[in-house]
Amino acid sequence: MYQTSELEINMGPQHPATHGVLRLVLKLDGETIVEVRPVIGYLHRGVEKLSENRGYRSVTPLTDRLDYCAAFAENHSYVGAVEKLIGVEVPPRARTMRVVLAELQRITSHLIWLATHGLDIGAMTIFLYAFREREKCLDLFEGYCGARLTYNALRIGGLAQEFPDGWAVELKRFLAELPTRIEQYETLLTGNRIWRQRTEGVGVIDAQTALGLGLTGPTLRGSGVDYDVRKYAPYENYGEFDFDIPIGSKGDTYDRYLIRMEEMRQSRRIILQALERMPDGPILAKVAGRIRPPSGAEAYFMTESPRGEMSVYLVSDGSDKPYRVRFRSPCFNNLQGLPALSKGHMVADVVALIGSIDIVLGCVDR
Amino acid sequence: MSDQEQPKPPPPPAPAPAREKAPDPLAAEVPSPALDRLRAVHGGAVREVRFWAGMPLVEVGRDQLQAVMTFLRDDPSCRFDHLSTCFATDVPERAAEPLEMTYCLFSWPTRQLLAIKVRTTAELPIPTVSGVWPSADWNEREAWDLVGIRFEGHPNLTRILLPDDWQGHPLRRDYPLEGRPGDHKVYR
Repeated sequence: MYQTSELEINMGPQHPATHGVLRLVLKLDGETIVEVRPVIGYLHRGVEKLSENRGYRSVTPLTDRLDYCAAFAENHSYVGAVEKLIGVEVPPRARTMRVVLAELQRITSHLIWLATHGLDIGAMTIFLYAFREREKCLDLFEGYCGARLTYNALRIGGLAQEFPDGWAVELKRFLAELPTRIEQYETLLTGNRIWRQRTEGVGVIDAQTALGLGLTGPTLRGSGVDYDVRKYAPYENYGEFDFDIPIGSKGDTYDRYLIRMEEMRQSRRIILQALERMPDGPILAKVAGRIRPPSGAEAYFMTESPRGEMSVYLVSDGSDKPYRVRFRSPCFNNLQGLPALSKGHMVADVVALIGSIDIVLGCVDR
Repeated sequence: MSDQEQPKPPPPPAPAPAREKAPDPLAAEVPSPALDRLRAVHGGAVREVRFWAGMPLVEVGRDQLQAVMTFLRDDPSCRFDHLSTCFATDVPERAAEPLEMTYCLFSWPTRQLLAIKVRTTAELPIPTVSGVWPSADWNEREAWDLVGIRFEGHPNLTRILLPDDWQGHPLRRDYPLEGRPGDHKVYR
């Protein structure tokens, strides 16, 4: 006599395919998923509490440690929020330089996503190729600010330094070869039968459900809406550039893959335009040495990080330390959509889905 | 010598002119169709409206929260389809209602940003908005975990970032930065 029953198993907290310390409690019927319950917090460092006990300027290095694969995006969001709170006008040159760095960060982040997402599903080759290009991006960041992951490159009111001599040339050289590289990746995956069978129709979500769950970024745009903070609530000078927002049609893992591939090309387009139109002038606005926004000041600054909407809410009580800092992390909210995405799929698909929503656990747990 | 007999009027107290200073330009009111609609339909729920850096900050009554939020999501001139985030703040200086919940709403179709605030105490629950936007689910759990706000009608109000056996709520102002001895079990 055979008896079938639902089985509850743990995936993680230490698991190579969960991109960090994520624990998933899977309720299974055979190999089919009945329910997924993400258990998070293993990497919680209390960044919001720490920020309340530091000066406004000293919080920026902490933001590097949230999403360590896209530290620039987190810096940007925090610094932008402080600027909004105290009403600082960033010089045009600094804005354009920020766009260049933010888009380079998007390419870097999408490359590591591509590498690990491919590896999770079993495409080993793509991992090596994507890391080759990511290395060049990291070299560029290292050339700019001296750090490869935790940049702390932004200052309240602008940037710390100009692009070094020859840096823009190096960047252009990298951008010149990028399209051929992306084509190479696409040859490996886009038409690959195994890749398509593992991703097509997996984790389908419609736009209305995705919006309700708070999904943002490529994860949302896969479902066919072009909601991108760069277009809908432009910051810096994104409004001046000509770029497209790729959207999907079916809302499955394959669509989200295609979108991120196209986003790398669009980021390249933005960087080239920005380098072309780089205005002259100062790169740092005058900001008081001690930042003390008036009591009752509150600001919310939204940016489009590589993973989705990364926003910071700041509250001031008139002192030189923020009264409350809230990091709205795209990963935390995107992970919330995982149970809805993975219902009815196989255990192996969960691995594809974690890669597809592109989470970084430092960003989820803060 | 009549003017010597009369004592001179005391100089005005120093803080008074400071309070009279011009309002900060960042606090200027900005046009907000969503706020106008909210005032017209749910005017009774709105307790206080402030502005900062172009964003309306609206405090509403606890009891009307769900009605207000449903209205903001569904009304054609508001259409706040995206609850960007919600979080709790402890403001002990405001003794009557020290805990505050802030909801950041963004509308993709009408491109408006609005912050809704609700005040409560450690005992009085706030109605959950996870029925209006499912994304509130985890954010409200985090508010319970870190600040200790109770939510009425929440499907699963448990700790989310801290271990289940944690004692206390770390984002309260009286909670020390380094933690308290024995606030959680140390696993070795």
